[in-house]
Amino acid sequence: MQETLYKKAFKNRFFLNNLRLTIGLILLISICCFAVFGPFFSSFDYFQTNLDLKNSFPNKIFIFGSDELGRDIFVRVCQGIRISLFVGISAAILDVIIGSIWGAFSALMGGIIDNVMMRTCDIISTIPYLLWVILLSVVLGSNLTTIIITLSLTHWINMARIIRAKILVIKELPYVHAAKLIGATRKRIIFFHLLPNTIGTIVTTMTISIPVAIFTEAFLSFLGLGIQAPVASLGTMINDAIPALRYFSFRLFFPSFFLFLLMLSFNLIGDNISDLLDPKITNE
Amino acid sequence: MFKFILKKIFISFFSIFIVMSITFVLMKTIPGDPFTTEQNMTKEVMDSLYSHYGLDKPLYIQYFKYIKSFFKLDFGSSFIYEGRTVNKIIKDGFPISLFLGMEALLICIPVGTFLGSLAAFKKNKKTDALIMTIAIIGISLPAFLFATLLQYFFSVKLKLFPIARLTSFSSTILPAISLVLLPTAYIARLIRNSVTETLNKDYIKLAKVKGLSNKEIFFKHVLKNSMLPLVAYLGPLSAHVITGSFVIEKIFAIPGIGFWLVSSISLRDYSVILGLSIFFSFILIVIMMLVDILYRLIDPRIEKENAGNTL
Repeated sequence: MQETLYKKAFKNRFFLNNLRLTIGLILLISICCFAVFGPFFSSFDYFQTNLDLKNSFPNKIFIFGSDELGRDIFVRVCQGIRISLFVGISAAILDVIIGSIWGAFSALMGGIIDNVMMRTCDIISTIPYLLWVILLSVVLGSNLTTIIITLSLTHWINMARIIRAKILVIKELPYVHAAKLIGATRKRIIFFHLLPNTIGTIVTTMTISIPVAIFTEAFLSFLGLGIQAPVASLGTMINDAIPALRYFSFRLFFPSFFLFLLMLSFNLIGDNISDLLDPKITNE
Repeated sequence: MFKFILKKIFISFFSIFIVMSITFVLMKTIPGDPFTTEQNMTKEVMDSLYSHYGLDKPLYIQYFKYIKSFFKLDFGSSFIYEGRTVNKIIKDGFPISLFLGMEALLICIPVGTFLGSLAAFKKNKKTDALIMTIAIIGISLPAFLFATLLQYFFSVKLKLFPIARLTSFSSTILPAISLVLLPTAYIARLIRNSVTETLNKDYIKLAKVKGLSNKEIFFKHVLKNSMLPLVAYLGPLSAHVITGSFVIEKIFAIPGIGFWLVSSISLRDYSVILGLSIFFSFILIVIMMLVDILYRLIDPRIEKENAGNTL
């Protein structure tokens, strides 16, 4: 009985009450399917050049047209989505790891350590995020790994603050005190009571930081600090397409359209997922 | 209050110092030095170049020299173009960037506030849904893409505005619009939430019962009480406008400092990149400090909470 009720509530949250979340999830899943299965429908590889077929408009051979080296834009868009997703998700995961350790440690230690750790965050966050990213990627160079490292090195502050605030709240809740009273060890409290209850927050923050990472990667590519050829992200494709915009606008259209869809789906999910993950909040 | 301001100034000063130290370390970790790309140079030439730029001294002396030059407001010079100093770039470019930034702020704050309040008053109606849909699209559309699209449709196709370069006021309109897309959407959402919250307060209900019109309620009671999140957002907003201007200035070929930063990135002109970055952080740190103080002045209630706990 209780389970069916729960299921009903879940369904309501998911489909009716939260149309935006549903749209976002469906959009994301379809983009993922497109990125995974898309290349099977094209006979080209993303790095394969056909110099005699360059800049061809969308046709039967090149569904989305071809670029200045005759590479199939369809396959390159699929590849670009994969790269963007990979960058976004791995940067977000690294974010979570650094941020939650920093935040949790800071909240649990309290006192001077907490103060020092949070002031460090304050100081780092006075410098704009994109400026850090630019400086670091100028220094570290640009390939997939360094871009991911750059993104997560600069973006964990937010995560750390949110986790710290959350843990400070949870730490004082009655059930934690109760657990302490019946003699639970510190370790048990951290792993069985505090961390599981921050998961909702972590996932919510993560879905917000994924589109930020995707955007930043595209931004870096746009500045010429992005991933180097032959690998292409959506940002590099957009950057390559801009000089030829006046004549071959399709080359800009497809990568930017998918970048937009990707960002939109993550934003839709990120905005509304907290309702799903945190049943305690009843959203009117 | 006085203590708070002093503390803020101290922290800002410290932040600037940290930024300078970090950029120094970064500059030193870049493989090679500014002259490694030049070919066919004898050792004497290299040595004289090194001593001219002070690169032959021990690291700590270079560090002190570096810090000292910043306190004398000397941001260094280009290693690639002779005679172009960062100070000159700032002197020429900053007024332009400042103008663009101010224009952007003047657009996004009223428009965002208006849209947000409208959405809150029409909550769960079609207007609200429309505004929130536009807002989420605005957040999802990267600024550089929006700028390119605007440029393509309004300048290339419709020929309504100049395509690029700074010639008259009309050439700053498109850049400013593309700069404010995301902040406007963000402010609209922020204001919508805070106005909704205010509208549920008892004093608003009382005002309604008293028979005040929606307009009166909005201007007399709601607006003032819902602006606080906007003040808190001013810091990130100016950060966004500054970093956003990098690409926007590049796309529209507006010779502000963002434009120079992007060109020096593509030329790998490290000293200019670092000098300009420090200048940007310097400005932002000052803005953040002012916003923090302003925020505290406007709402003394915040003083009671632990400032570090917010967010």
